[in-house]
Amino acid sequence: MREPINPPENSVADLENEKAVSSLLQKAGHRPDLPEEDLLQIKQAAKAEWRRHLSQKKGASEVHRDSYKWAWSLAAAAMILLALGIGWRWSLPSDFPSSSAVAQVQFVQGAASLFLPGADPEPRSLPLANDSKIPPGSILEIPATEDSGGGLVALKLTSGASLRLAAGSRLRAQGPSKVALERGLLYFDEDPTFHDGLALEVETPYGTVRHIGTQFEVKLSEQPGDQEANLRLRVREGLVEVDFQGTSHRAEKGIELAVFADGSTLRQEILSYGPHWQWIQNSAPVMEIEGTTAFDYLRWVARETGLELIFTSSDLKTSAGTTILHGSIQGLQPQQSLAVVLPGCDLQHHITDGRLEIRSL
Amino acid sequence: MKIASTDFPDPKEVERDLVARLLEGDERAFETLADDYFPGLLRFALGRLGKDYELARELVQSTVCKAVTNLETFRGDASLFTWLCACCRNEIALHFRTQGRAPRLVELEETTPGLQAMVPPSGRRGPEANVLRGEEASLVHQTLDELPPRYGKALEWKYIDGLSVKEIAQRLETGPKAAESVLTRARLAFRKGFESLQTSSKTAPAVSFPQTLKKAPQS
Repeated sequence: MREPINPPENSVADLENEKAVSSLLQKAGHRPDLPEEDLLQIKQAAKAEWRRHLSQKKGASEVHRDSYKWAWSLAAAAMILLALGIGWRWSLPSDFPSSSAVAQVQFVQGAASLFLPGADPEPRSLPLANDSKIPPGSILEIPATEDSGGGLVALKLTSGASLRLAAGSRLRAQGPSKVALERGLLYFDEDPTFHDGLALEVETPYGTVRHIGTQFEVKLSEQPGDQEANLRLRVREGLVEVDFQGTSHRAEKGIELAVFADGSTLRQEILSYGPHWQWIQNSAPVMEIEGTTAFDYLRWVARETGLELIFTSSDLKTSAGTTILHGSIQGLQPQQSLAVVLPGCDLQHHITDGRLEIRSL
Repeated sequence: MKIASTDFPDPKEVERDLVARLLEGDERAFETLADDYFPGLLRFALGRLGKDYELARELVQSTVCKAVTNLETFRGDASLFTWLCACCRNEIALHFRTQGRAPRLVELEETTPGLQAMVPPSGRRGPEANVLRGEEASLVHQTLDELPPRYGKALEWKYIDGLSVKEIAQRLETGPKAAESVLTRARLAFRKGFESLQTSSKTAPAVSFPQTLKKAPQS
């Protein structure tokens, strides 16, 4: 149904009406701006509530559907057993129902294994593949390698946050908001826009790391050399807490915190961008840009690279928010993709001092 | 001026579609809801709670948290913004009931200082703002908030930012004729809303529109 077309009664009156409206608006000016952080806070709270509500609804319908599936599965299993007269050995399905998975694999490079939980004294290992679902209690292992292009894995947690693992890592997925890093290097990224209130806890032998809406990296060293910490925490955004031997240590954006086995710590400043974060870009799952706005795409690039996104004018920012992208950036790292995407949007970028500046082409 | 038929949809239909997409879990629909409706709702709450900015934010947050879980009850008879404002009014009333005291009633004209206090200078009015302070500006802003989001934006782009119809069409992702149509409807809806607020406000400023168009067509 369309709105009825309402032609004005006469052009003179319409012009006068326009003048009156124009005059009022010009005098009044823009509606007052509101602090962005407050609006963001309201938005995050509402989004978390909205998602919770949706997942509850979805969960209810899945339970309903699963009860039918279960009945059919039982019937089918019984028929097979009867017909073939063979035993049946329990094995876990490769595709777990989403309700029981704590994460899903988004990117795998090199060899990586998944050890499923179960009563089996020697747990089976499966090769990790894209879209594999990670059930609670399972272990992910990426062999150590000398090759700089070694194993990398990116997981999407049920909260929507991204978790990356580098070669030499072993991680136990305990639950949707709890993992145990047994060795290696981990990176966590949760966009505060989509923060759902679930704070991730990373258990390590050298303390438990908790975040408050953030991006951070945790590195464990089993046999640290001189001056090398047992646990190294680098905070790219937000605030992170480490509890070790009954003491809580906090680190904020731009801080590297080293925790030693004797409980001592060392703090130093660190940039949120640069070569030491390159592995994050290397392990970034490809963003599906089809149908997203240029603004959302640029925010993603900024998060992956750790650069601060700057538009040289508010018009450009508005324009980016209304520009819909088509196509794919498959095979390109976030920063590389800028050169491919931006010219089509009549935009160009310039990177300097940690800033990703967006200008008109 | 003749207005050609356009493909621009009925705002009510747009809102019903938005709610349907929210119920399906469409993330972009949520972004639209938050960007287009939450700021206006916060201004609405501030208008009722005077300078108590923290309380306004807190109550708007609980309003929208409840609203997003009750979207099934939105029938689309009134606009989405009106529905959210009704939810917010209930939340304010509930807050004061549980506090065991009556809400402080703030007249519309009191909203402006509260808002002005928190608005950074760069975000404030244009150079002519000094001429028209207080309730008239507040009425204009309230009217803009109550319009369908695209109408409010189009009017601001055209008459405050001075954008051309072509530029507005680009921002609305439509053609120039459809943008003209939106502007015409937006002006009429603005006028209707402004006059209605003028009537309900005790101390409304005397702003009059040309009489020949006094009866704004229903949209």
